[in-house]
Amino acid sequence: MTTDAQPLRRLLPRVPDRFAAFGAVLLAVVVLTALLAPWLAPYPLDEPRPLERLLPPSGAHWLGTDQVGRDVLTRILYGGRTSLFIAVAVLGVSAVTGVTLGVVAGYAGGWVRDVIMRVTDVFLAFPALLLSLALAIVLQPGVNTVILVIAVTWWPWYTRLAASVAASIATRPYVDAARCLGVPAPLIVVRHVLPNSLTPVLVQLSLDAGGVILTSAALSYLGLGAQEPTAEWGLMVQQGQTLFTTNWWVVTFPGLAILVTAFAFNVLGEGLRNALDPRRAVR
Amino acid sequence: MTSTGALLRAERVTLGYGRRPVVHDVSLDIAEGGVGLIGESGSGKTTLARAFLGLLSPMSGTIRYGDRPLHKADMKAFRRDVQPVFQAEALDPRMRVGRSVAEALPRAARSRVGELLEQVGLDPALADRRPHQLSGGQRQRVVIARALAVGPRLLILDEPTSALDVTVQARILDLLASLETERLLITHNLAVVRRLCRTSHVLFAGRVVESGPTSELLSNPAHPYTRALRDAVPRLGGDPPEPKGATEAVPAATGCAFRLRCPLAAPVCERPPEPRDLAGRRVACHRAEDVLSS
Repeated sequence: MTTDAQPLRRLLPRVPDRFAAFGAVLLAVVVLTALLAPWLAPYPLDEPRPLERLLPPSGAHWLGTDQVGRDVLTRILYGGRTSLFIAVAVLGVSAVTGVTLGVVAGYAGGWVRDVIMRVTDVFLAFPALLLSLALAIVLQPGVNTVILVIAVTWWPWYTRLAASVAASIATRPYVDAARCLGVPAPLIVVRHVLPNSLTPVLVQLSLDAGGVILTSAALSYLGLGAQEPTAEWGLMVQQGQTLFTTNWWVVTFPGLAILVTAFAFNVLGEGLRNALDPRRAVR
Repeated sequence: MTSTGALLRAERVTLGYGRRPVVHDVSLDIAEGGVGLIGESGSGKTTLARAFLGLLSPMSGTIRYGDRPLHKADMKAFRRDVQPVFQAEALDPRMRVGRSVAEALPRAARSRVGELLEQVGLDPALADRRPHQLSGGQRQRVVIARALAVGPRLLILDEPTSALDVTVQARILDLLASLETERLLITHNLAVVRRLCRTSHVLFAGRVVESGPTSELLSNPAHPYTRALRDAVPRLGGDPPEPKGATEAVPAATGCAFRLRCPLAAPVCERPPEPRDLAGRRVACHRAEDVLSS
């Protein structure tokens, strides 16, 4: 560890390697710029300026303008809000559903586990993107639809993860001790099994966030996700795809925003996994 | 070995996981004066302890609590009467130790946490610490305090000192010996069982091979496995213990389970030995007389 990395380590004592710290800082920048979009954006969000169509990056429009004259930087800043909201909502719904079912399955065992895990297997048997696409086609396109169709394919992974961790926690002596004290099963799950099962889930959440953003971008790209005039990175890429050879900035900058955010989430997730698993720790 | 008035009793109990039995046809009482379950890893001690704690149902046979089968007993009373003391690692790593102890108490009595910690020789101020902030000995005392919180009549002690260094072991043993509860001690440490238990049962491959007064069993064993356990204890200043027989051999599937490791094994050992009374103890060995006289 070099001295120039030490301020980062002081800021992020739980993140042991510089790469992960870099991911955390990058993510913080993305989140902050998205949150502060109304104050940071140089132009109003939806203000088409037909006379300023497809202007290349310049002092007036740092990242250029799109095909109806809207500032690309402004839409990327606001688009971050939509993409991050989708990621948080999908992971929230998936984690709450998946972890609840998984912890119950892992702790209860027997037929309860069998029923929950077989239902989970049914969902896992479908290719995720195909299932999302099929549902998105049936439902009305929009942000809520994106959240729903991705969450439907995402929760089973959390169920599997939480079930395996909870099954292991359920055999620990402190859980046996609680049983022997007559603590009711729901309380044992809430007090002991759930909190001790969360660490790998948190790591998985940070690893999955990038994947959710990419999937939502893919759905928007296919016209099944966010719709105009919503600012969303995947939608921006989809709308700019035909302009790539002539007006590269329309599609490149939102694409880079997706790439950077997915990269930041993944790097942070890897770092968390290493920090919390001594067998994978960076030496 | 059965007697009347035992708080807990196993009657021809067979225990297992899934369909695989690991404890076979065991009968024993938790009698006064402390009972020891001795045996190597995998002999079924902890499985038997889990059955006595009501955490595992027998495949056959009955665990009795007083005069009723455990599965028909008043479980509230049972949980008050019988408590486990697991190893020092039996504390939730995320929970402050005071909260772990308080879990055993009704809401109105949670102010007793400090008093319970004091009872086991800990500073009540440690209640705010998490387990990793305590030493192994302190954690073991917290585990004992939690078990004592409900005022049990019987403690089931599963290797309570095996993870501790010798001096800390001694202090924990002093503490356990000073408690007025009955105890079932599961251990492979013969010195511990000698200190805390009047009666002992030696388990090998899920079967009780010898039962009787602890002092008799350890000073003059009648089963070659008990003798092997005793002789394996290193003595300070003495020669290292010499292994007798094949110490790593697996239990035999037929006949006497110990015969593949037994230095006295004979053709007769290919038949399963019936437990019998001999020299003040109960032993399951065709060659018990030879063991006693050798």
